[in-house]
Amino acid sequence: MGGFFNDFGGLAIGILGSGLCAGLCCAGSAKGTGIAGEAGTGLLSEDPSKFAKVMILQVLPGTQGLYGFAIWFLAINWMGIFNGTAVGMDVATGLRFACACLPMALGGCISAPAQGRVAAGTINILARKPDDWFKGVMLCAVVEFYAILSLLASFLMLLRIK
Amino acid sequence: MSIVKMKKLQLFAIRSQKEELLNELMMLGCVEVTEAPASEDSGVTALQHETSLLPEYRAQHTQLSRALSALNRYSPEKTGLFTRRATVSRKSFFSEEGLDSSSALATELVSLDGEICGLNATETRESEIVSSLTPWKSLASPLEMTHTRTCSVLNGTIPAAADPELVREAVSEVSAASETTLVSSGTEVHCLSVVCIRDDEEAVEHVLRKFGFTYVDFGQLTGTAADNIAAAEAQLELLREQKSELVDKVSSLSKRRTELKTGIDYLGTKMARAEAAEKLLRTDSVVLLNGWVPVPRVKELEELLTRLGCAWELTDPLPEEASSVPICLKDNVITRQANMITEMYSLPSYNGVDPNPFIMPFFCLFFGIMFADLAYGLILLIIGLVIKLKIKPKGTLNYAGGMLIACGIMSMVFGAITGNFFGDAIPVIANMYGKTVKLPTLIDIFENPMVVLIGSLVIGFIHIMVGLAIKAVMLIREGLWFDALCDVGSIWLLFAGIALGALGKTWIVAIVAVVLFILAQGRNSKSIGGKIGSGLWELYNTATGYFGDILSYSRLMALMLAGSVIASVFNTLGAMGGNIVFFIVLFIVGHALNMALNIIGTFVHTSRLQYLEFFGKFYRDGGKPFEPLTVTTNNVDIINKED
Repeated sequence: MGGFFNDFGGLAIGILGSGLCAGLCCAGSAKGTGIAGEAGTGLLSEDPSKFAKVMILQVLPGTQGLYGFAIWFLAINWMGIFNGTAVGMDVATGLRFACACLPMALGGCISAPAQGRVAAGTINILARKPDDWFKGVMLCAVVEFYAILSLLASFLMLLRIK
Repeated sequence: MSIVKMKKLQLFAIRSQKEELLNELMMLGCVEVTEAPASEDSGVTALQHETSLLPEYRAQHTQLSRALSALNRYSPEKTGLFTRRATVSRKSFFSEEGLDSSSALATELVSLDGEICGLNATETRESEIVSSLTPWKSLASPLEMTHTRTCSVLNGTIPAAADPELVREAVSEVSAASETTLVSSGTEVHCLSVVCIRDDEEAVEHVLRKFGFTYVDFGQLTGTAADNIAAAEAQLELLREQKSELVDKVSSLSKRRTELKTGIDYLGTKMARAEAAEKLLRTDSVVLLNGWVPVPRVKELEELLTRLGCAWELTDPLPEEASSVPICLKDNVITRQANMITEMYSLPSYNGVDPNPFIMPFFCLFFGIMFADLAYGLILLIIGLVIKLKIKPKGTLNYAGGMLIACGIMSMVFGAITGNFFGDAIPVIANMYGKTVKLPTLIDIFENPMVVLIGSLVIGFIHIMVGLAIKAVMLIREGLWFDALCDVGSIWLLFAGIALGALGKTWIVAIVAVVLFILAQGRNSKSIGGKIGSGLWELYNTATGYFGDILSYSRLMALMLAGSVIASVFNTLGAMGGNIVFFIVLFIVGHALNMALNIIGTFVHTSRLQYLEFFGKFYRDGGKPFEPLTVTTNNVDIINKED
């Protein structure tokens, strides 16, 4: 058991951490884009000509999934999964990679639904005051900032331990 | 580059000259007409509000707008990215005959639209007949027939769940001489026609009820269902022809679209004049106009008023009127672009300062730092140039074009410093072909993020200090030397002291600065305890406030790095396939997405640094924009040329 853990444990923990990063961020984004998209269908049933703007608002909470995917990609790249050097990674290294992915995993997962709600509210603005809709986009960008900070936190840590 | 000084205008004119006066003022375009103050204030009584034809103009405007929207509905205008507004000459714009003819056109279009709507309603009715009769199409007996001399005809439906065979058996049980026909079966109901001897009608009806039979109502229709359907379809065909004829007629009028747009804009100017007229006060023979005029335009105005023989008075606004003076910003071609940013927040008040000259350099600098990519910057620059040179829009979009040019250039500068060209695209592509290329960079942001962070904070510190300096200048300009010294000087001394201490020279300056700061901030309290208490409280607020403000500039570094990270992830992903086509596809999609996200993010955070950290130090907002009575158009552009 101990031997098995030493041979494969590090890699497994690293994959677990980076995988959670991609999965949680994507789950958050799915929820966020879902909230915004649902609000969008209401407006589109009244005024289909606003499709482009509604779609922009819907994809805004989708960026967290992209960030999560980016961190996952960098992590497994630097762990050496693509060139096969990851086999036999020690437990400490695996844990380092897993922990470095945590900020993105949590930040993305939680910020995306929050941003989705702002985007859904912005669809209300788009329905009532179409000229001011971009102000709502800027409110969404405020939430986005925290996903960006999470991305940076994970990225800078990965960069140092690679 | 400052707020333009305003003069308050009060003028009397002969009432018969009113239209001419307003027209000339509109052409001059430098007077904002304001609501007359209540009559007891002006010391003049027996003045009434002037009336105008505004409601009529509005009705006419609505008619023309309806006509235009009808025209756009049936014959949409082809517009592209570079479509510019139609142009009309000054003479044909301000022509009553032109307005009359476009009104006639509008009436024609609106009535055509009405006819089309009427046809649509008939079409709906006929289609409903067709769809409701289709299940009964094979019914041979006329729809209006409910009985003959000896028989009764019962037409109706039973739910789809009921079995028509069982119905037939049940009916034939109570009435041997009966005929139950299944006319059609749909997903919801079966349509049945039951014929029986008149005497059995009640018994049959009773049986049918058990199966959930409901009579069908054909209304006033006569003849067989098939005949009715054929008639309705013929009618529909006719309606469609009529409609397409009408739509063709509307489309044939579409070449007069510009005429309609001109009419709408001309009515807009008439409405603006009428609105101004309603703000005037009048007696039987004289009108009184109140308004504002910018000082640089006074001479032109006075020439006009002399020519018209008006009596007028120009006064400087009183200090307590500062909040009601409209704000007009004097600017040059560079600072004007920042108007967009200022307008989005709030215009400065009359006793404030014009922030545009200060916003412009910092906004572009911050944008450049956060965006920091040579290629992205180049794209912004090109978009900005296209907006400015090809589309030539008016208002906010024009300013946005200017901002894009300036921000694009700054992004290119910082892209060059950090060695970003589509992120790390060049080294990655070179690597795909087995070569190693390294772009020359001043700062490697991934190796030395600390340098970027410290640089960001230093720039933030400078930004805040500029804000404080503006506050000091504002206070000194108003003669409040002591306040400037206490509020701004003490903070500067504090920073200087901390700097000296941190450099290891001496902490004495810092300690003296803290004492002076407490004294300065506590100066407005009455008791000694109050002075020290409020001084300490202010010290705490200032320390935490400035600490937070300066740390806030770390977003400069965060967004700079984030953009590069995403860009380089896309580059690496694309390169993994080793296939150049795959790389190009992912490259285009990924960088388009990254750029779009980055533009929004960067714009928001650059604005935020201006609004919160910078404006918080000095800005007095709440000004109303100066809206002179002038010719504004929404649909066409007026050009100065003879027909």
